[in-house]
Amino acid sequence: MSESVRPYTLVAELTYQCPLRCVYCSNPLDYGRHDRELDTATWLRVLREAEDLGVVQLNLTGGEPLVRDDLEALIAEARRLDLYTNLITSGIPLRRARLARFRELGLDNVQISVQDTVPAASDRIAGLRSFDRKLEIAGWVKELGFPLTLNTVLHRDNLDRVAEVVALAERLGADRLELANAQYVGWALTNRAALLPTPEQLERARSDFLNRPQAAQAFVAAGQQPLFRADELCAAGAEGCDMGLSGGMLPHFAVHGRGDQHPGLGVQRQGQAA
Amino acid sequence: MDALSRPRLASKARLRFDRKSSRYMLLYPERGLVLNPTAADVLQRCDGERTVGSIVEELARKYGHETPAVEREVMDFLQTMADRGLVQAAM
Repeated sequence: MSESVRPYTLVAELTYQCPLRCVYCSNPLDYGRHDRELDTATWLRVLREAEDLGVVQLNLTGGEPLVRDDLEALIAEARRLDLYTNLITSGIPLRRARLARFRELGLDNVQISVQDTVPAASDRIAGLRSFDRKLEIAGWVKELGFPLTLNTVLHRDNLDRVAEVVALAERLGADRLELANAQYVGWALTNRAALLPTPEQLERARSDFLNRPQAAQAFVAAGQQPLFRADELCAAGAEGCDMGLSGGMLPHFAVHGRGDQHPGLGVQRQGQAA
Repeated sequence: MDALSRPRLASKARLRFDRKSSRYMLLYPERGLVLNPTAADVLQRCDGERTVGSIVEELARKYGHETPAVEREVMDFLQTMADRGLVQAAM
């Protein structure tokens, strides 16, 4: 396989089950019909084959990946294959002892979604009282020595609070903040009338962010620049593949925080709230 | 970042040798950098123990270059990595 078509990232959608009901969910509209998940042995084989194709990054996501009881086995195998493994989660079903076990097994990073900085607004988007629990779990992530990514999907109701989202990430000690525009496919497309921000809102949020000191911008995933003397691993289009429950693989266009470049095709996108 | 800083990789960043490209990669959440050999030489030495000064000395010896020239390049590179939050300077 030539370097130009090498996949670097595998987005493993382990399940579509989730305790949350976010209105911009990346699950397929008919996810209720996808009740058959790939079994552990199949995923272990997929990880080995992906590594053989050149994959170096693994995102364990869903739905909510924590509902699977074989995450331990998948994390251990990913570590054996030297994949950089990121758990993308709502956090809700997590127990502290299980998270500590993930750390021992070699999980590299934990990404927790927070829907808004106002608890009631966050809970409303998620369809579940979950905000306080998420902050508690973010605290565990840091206490156990993991790097923490905080993810917030942006839309009309929270776009005026980007500054507060950044402040929350700083307060939680996040190592990275992912500000992801809602991706207008699937549920977000269905619900776009309620989600699309106004142009004025977008411009305000953009200038608010750009007016922050550079040091404060450094950990935000939006707006990173190519690095001197090193090539961006994932700059080109066909750098990732996205594997859903059906076992089909899709080109993965909109990974790596480039939330504004989604071509609007029916591909799943990582980085949206689990 | 100065000669007495003791740089180390940020906790979210991990170095990994890539057998397909025969290069080192620095991986971090959802991203990564393919490193050229000298960048890899620098980052492999960012262990929080060595100072920038001692890293420069080692690389100047290894490549047979003058120390000031190596120091400028290493310093620039580490500062760029620090600005991106991938390297931290422990004093």
